[in-house]
Amino acid sequence: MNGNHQARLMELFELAADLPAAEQAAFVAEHCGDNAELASRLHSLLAHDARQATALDDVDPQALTSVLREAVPSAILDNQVVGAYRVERLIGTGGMGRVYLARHLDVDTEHRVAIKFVRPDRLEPNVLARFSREWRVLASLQHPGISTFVDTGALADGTPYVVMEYVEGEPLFDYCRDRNLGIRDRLQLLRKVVAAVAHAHSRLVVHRDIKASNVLVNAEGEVKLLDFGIAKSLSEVDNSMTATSERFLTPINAAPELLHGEPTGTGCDIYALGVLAYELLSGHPPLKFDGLLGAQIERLILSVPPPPMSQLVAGDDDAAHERGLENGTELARRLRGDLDAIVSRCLRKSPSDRYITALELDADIERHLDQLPIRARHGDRLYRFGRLVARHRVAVSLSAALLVSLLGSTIISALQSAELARQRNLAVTERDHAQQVVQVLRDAFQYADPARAAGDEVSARQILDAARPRLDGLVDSQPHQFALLADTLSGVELALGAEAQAAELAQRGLAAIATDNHDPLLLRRLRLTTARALTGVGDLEHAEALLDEVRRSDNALQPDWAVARARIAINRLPETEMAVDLLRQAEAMILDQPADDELATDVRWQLAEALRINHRYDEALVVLDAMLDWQQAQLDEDHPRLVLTRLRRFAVMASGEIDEARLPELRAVAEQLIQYYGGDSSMAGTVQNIFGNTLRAAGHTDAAIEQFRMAWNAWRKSLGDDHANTLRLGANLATVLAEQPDSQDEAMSMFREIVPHVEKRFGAQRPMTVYLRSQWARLLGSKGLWREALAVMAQIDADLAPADRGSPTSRTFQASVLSQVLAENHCHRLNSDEAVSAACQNAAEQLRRLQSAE
Amino acid sequence: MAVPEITQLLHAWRDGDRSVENDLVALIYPLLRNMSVEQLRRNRASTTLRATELVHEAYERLHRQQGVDWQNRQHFLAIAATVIRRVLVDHLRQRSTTKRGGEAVVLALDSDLAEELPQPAAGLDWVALDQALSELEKIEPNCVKVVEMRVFAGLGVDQVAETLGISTATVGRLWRFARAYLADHLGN
Repeated sequence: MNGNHQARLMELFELAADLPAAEQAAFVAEHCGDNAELASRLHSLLAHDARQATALDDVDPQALTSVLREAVPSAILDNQVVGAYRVERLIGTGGMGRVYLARHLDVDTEHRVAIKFVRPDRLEPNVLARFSREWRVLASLQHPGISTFVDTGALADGTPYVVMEYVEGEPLFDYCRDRNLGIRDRLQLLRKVVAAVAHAHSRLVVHRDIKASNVLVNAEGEVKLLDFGIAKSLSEVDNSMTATSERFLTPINAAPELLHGEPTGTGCDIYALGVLAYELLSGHPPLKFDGLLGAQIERLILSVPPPPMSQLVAGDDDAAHERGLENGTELARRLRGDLDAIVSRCLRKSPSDRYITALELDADIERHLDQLPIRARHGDRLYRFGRLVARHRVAVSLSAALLVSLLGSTIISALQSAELARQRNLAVTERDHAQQVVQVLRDAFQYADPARAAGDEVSARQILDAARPRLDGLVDSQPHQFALLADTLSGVELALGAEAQAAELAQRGLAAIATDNHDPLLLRRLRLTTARALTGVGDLEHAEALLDEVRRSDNALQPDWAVARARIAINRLPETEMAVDLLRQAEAMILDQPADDELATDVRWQLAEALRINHRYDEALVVLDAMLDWQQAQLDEDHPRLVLTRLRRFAVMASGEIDEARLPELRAVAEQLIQYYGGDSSMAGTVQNIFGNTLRAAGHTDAAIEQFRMAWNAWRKSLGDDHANTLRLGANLATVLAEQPDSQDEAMSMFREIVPHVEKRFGAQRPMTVYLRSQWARLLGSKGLWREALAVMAQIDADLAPADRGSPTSRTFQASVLSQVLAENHCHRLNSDEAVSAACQNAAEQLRRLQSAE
Repeated sequence: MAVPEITQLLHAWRDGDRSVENDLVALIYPLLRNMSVEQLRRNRASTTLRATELVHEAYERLHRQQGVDWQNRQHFLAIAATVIRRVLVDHLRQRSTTKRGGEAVVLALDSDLAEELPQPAAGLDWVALDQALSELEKIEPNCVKVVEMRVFAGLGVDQVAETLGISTATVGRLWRFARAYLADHLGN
């Protein structure tokens, strides 16, 4: 349309727009005359004008805001006002966040505080939850040896912060070294730390991160224990704290039970005090981690007892001099005996073998200073005996006993609620037992083959198909039983990637119990399964409606609901951030699940995916890395879930800004994975596909083609020409070849070869088929074979049901190809030939339908 | 920043010389970008980065601190709306190219439906909107101004009318055409 027409379009639109709808058609006919294009445009504009909501009406200010925010780099905190304080400067960076010095806004007060902001990538829901429930407890800690808690809050973006008393002082070790403090003085300082810890324990607060850098000594020689930032309230008997979910624990002071994910109590602080004492007295850490890998460090912490201090220092004259002693031998003599015993008792692997309370530890140090016999050594024999008996003692009971001994009756309510929770869990377990049997089966299907290599090729398909008739027989006679099996089997279908079948089956299951609602749990599960299957086939609205019903009957947010809802959100552009929020919340609820728990695994995978979709690749990597730790600690090295997590991790690494400098690293990881699984394996093909995509995004089309070609070959060799993924990879190769002018001929022959297979394999109506056909049509069009191109598009049109032109995305894509083909070939002008004219008109009509489809 | 240059360009623009618009945008773009960074830094507590505030503040700053002689802040608002449109679209364009190379999509294996195809325009497709606006510009530049000021700078109808020196009725008329035209172009 030329400029004159355009101007005329606006003029006519304004005249026609105010006419009654009934008169508009006549107006258009009268004023556009034989200019069919102008008439068609005007019609279209008037149709849009009449609609309630158009793209422009839907502009979401929030969406604009979030893009704008993303468009500018993130900010720093200097000079920001937080609560009653103005942030002055960064004074420290810890594992969990940054600490800023801040001053009270009221200039008259000299009140300075330290504000600790949790790092955004540490902003996990468990951290948030802990912050919010702990501030009261923290506020109750008033002790000269503990830096006072002032306030807590969160910035509007959710970043939580804690305001603490600002302590000026020297780190403990520096203080001692600079003054050449002897063992006795060091022990006096240690006792002050122990007293502070004992105070916290008496308030049911465990520090959990006691270490030298958290202990400052001020000018008066008083110690201050900092950073109750990750302190955990003991009143919540809680075994959710695992090494993997709390990766920012400093390993050197981490007690063995932290690595086990066992319930943690005051024992881990006793252990950490032991670590502190060891180095304070001897100048050496109890265990040396230098150059060791995670698993080796873990082994050290879990099973290697530290050597007695006196052994280490025997040759260390420097350490001796720093402690005002002549030589290492003298220092060794000073440490041998009582002090070795006291410290090693703190460092026992099992919490029950350590001092039970900080007060006991303090008492032994005091006795040693007073040259009285200490308890630790008396306990040695008992300790050895006790170790045998107590090796397998249930840790929970220990925690309970510990609580009672600490606080007497005040904690009984906490214990009671813990017991109630346990009983509730038992009941759920009973109920789910039958389900779990089938779950095993489902898992077998799902994880028999991590790369979905055999996928729907395996006999699972046949098993399922064979099960159908028998299943159908149950619908009327035993609807409940039918629904139960429908749920399970649609879960299997989902595991096989057959979402459409899963959706159909699950919906039939729902229908079967529609009138009989005596099993609300089954109803809930079926709704969740159905919603997931519907999400898989792209029917997000119905999926959401089902989930809304589930949510209405759930009392609180449930992790399985959250992950189902997040799947929808991930597939909806405006909701992708909501997906992250939901999954973070879900994650907080599944922290204590073992690595073979399906839901816990799914929540984390989806969380990583949601972060990836939101371009928060670093955070996605943090999630997946933590997952790897979690899975490696509990699963076999080649467990399918581990493999899948590695694959996802690679996919995340390959996402995002494609920095040229990162390509070699990615290539290395890809090659490592390929080497591990074999060059012709489906896993190799999967990795090559991802890497090919990355190379292509980075503009290395030739290298990308090479990867896609290898990927295609790997899948062909391992699973045959007709496997769904082989076809997908063939489609990728053809698509990328089509982008390079000099390989378009090859692309053409690939499309010709592959498209019929895809049609046969996926069916003509599947989005995959529609997409590939559209791509082919585009290539045909750009090669001037526009009649053939239009024929392909017409075939798409004919194969799709009249009411369904595909998803909005698919429609948009089809429309763009059609208009491109039409535009490139000036279809409307070539109307001398009748057949051509008909093809063009049909195409224009098809385009119009696509554009007006709701 | 070359303040006299801005003033000069702005005067030319006010007097109807639209050819200077690109130069103006080029000069104001870095300013707005820096300011949005600052706004975030200063106000990290608020996750919102409101285009309206940004634009008004940019004006204040130029006016107050740099003595840019703008008879009328509205001229600035009109330009700034264009700038915000560019900031956004440039970013999104860059993001989408880094994400998936060309227009075609590479299929993920075992992909869910949504992964198979380009992301649907479930929200507004800003890049497509940008292209459609460029087309609309050829018909009626004021239509584009109206859309930019309302959508990208968050101005109300009255402010738009005042800025462009036209009646609110005309703003309504332009908006109505733009609305239909853009809906047509965005295929929804």
